[in-house]
This record gives sequence, structure tokens and C-alpha cells, in this order.
Amino acid sequence: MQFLRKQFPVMLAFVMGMAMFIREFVPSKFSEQLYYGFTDWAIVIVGFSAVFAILSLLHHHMNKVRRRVEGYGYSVITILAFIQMIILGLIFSVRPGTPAGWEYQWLFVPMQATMFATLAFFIASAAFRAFRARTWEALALLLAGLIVMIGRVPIGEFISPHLSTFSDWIMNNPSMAGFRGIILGVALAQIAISVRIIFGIERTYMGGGD
Amino acid sequence: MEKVQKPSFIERFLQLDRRIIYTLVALAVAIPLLFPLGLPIKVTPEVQSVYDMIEDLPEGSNILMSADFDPASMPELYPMMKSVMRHIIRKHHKLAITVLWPNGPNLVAQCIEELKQEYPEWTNTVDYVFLGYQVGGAIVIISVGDSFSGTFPKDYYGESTDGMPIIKEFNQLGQADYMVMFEAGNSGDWWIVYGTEVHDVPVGGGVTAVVAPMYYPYLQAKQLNGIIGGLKGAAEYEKLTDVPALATSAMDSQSMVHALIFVAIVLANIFALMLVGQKRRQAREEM
Repeated sequence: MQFLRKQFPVMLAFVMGMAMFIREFVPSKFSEQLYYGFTDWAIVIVGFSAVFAILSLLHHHMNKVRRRVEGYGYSVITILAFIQMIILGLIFSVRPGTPAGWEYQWLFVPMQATMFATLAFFIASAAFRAFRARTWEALALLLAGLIVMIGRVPIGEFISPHLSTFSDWIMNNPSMAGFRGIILGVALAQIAISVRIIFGIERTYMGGGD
Repeated sequence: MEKVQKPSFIERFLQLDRRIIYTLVALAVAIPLLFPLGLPIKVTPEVQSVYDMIEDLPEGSNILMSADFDPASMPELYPMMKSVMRHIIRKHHKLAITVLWPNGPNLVAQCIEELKQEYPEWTNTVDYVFLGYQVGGAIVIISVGDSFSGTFPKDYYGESTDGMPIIKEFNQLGQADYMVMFEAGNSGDWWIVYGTEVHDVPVGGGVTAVVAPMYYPYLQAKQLNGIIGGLKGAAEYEKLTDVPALATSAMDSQSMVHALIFVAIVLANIFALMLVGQKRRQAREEM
């Protein structure tokens, strides 16, 4: 049991990781078949993980209802909404024109859009209160933010064509350079974590406990 | 009894009730919708590149589209997706559509239905195939490098993809002449890294304004041929296709809200500086 829990996943990660790595340098029909065969497996495995996520969500909310935790009414709504959507989806499918499709179009879409739209109000209020040039760095950030904000909408162009030109320059130079640094940093970290997983140094993905 | 000093105008301004700000934002959105200002929309080179690519491809070229967003980003991405799809239909290109976000497929279905009203001759399985959602994210992208029909055995409408007329000619990512992705997150990175770079397919991106800066490094490295950024990008595309619609009508509102926030931030900073000066003067006088 200990072998299946501890050693086997590490061995599996090593074999699969190395196979995928070596495959990159072996351009053959077999290696291509292996590659696409593994990706088919991966889709199935990810599908299973979605089922686990659903079970975990239900378990979490059922526990809240059972213990009558404060606000458990929301959990009841979540469970009911979930169950009815599953039933309607299985019977009628979820395409437009079906009951589940109707719920999607007339409940889910407006609710999500509303949640996102309220951001405009919060951002306006927060920007008014918090966006202050207290240091030189904050001033630089503030100026760049203001120029990009006004330069990327038609009113900026209407006020002065230079605003949109300067806004484009900010996006194409300082902002882009910053994001390139982030992308490179993330890529290097991904390589490092992959090597650690392949060689069994990083084992947190196996979870804790005995 | 100590006299309570009334807050100055500056102090009252800086503590402006948030409900006043909310009301101003609501007015800035609503008034231009009711009384359009018709501000000019300038087409940026990033949007022009996407348009030119679709325009210049020979008729009947294969285009892959991925709609990786959900209703939260619908106001920005839906209008641009519709404009681009309209352009593809007009140019008689073949279109395969995938979705990597579970809550996205019905938005694409809605868009298809709306466009079919405009172009009834646009035929499913012949001119386009809507492959729907497949779980797996980046793995799906790798998998469509092998075949669409293997990764999506059935299309969104439940029809078997194997044997569809369009799939006979266009069954792999590598067979695409161009790819357009609509992204509300980082799935665009996956399309570039695992998809188009591997199969050497040019790609353009329609992205929300929030994530647009994340895609500029790819644009400069020519890994992306163009970016349609946010609602403004969508309005630019509508201008290029000569069908002003949702995005164009919302541009004045967006301009007004941006202008309002701009003025609010500038005034708040000026007043905050004045308050600091005022307090320093008071402190000097008290000494």
C-alpha cells in the first residue's frame, strides 16, 4: 500500500516525464503516436478530475447544510441549482431552446454579466479614493495609467491624437517589457517545477497524510 | 466647550460619498447610450492586421476559432467574435470553432444562430463546424494537432464529426491557414505555445482589455499577428467590416466613464496635495 501511495506515483511521473521529454528529440511515427495517445489519456484523466471537483463541491455544501453553518441557505440553493441543472441537462441537453439553455441565457448570463459590470462602479470609487501619487513611483504609475486609460478610448483621440500615440507607446514598450519579464519568469519556474516533479524532488502534488 | 471645526471643502470632496460616484458612473454609461456622441473610432494597426489576414486569404481557406470565455467577458468578446465570424462568412472561408471554457459554448451557439439569420446559406458541417467544449485545456490544443474528429468525436449539436464534409478537408490544427482566438484569460498562451508555434499557423487574438497587455510580448515577437483589444478593438473591427453594432454603440459610454474616472483621479490628487499643504501651514502657524 505504501508503495502505491509513495513510490509508484514518483516512478510513474519519472517514466512519463522522461518519455515525453525524449520524444521531443525522436521524430518518428511511433513517438508521434505515443504523444497523441498520452494526450488522449490525459483528456480522460482531466475529465475524471472534473467529476471529483463536482463531488467535492457537493460534499462541501452538504456538510455546511448538515451542520447548519451560518449562511447554509446559500448552500441549499447551490445544491438545488446544481441538481436541477444536471437533471434538465441530462433529459433535454443544455443547448439554446432547452430548459437548461433557457436558464443559461436568462439567469446565468445576466447574473455573471451583472457581477462583472458592478466592477466599473467599485473601480471608479476605489480609484478616486486610493489612486494617489504619494511617491515618485506611484506618480509614474498614476500618469501611465491615466494616459493609457484615456488614450485607448475614442475621447482620447478626440482630445489629442498624441494621447493615443503615447498610450500605444506605453503599451508597446514599458508595459510589454514588464509582461515579457513575467512570462519568462513563469516559463523558467515551470521548467524548474517540471524537473523537480520528474526527479521526485517535488511531491506536494501527491497530497499530505499517511 | 471646544469648538468643533467644520471640515473644509477639500476634505468633504475627498470623502465624497461613494453613492455619488456610483450615480455619476451610471449617468456616464446611460446618457451616451440614449444620446450617442458619435466619437470617431480610429483603427489601430493591431486590429487592422487581423482584418487584413482574413481579408487576404484566398476564398475557402481554413480558419480555426477558439472562443475561450464565458458570460462575464461577453460584453467585450462577443461583439468582436461576431464581427470576425461575419467577416469569415463573407469571405467564404471554412470555419472550425472550439471552446476551452465550460460556460462558453452556448454563447458561440447564440452567435451562430444570429449570423445564420443574416446569412441563411451558411451551412453547418459544410462551411463551418462547431466542435463545442472539450475538457483538458492545453491538452485539447495538443490533441487537435492530431485530429479534430479524434478530440471532438461529436460536435456541439451531437452529430458525429467523422465524415463531415468540412472535416474531410480540415481535420487538424496544422491544416488551418489562420487561427483566431478569443481569450478572457491565459488560454491564449497555450494556443501559441502548444498550437500555432508547433504547427506554424499564424494566429490573431481577440482579448479583453484587462488581459491585453499580457499578449503584447507575443505581438512584438510576431507570434501573434494582431490583437483585437477590449471593446475598443471590437468597435474598430465593426468599423472595418462596415457593420456598426454592439461595440460601436457602447464606445461613447466607455469613453465617458474613462473620462469621468480620469477627472476624478486628477481632482482627488490635486485636492489631496492641497490638503497636505493646508495641514503643513496650520502646523507651522500652531508652532
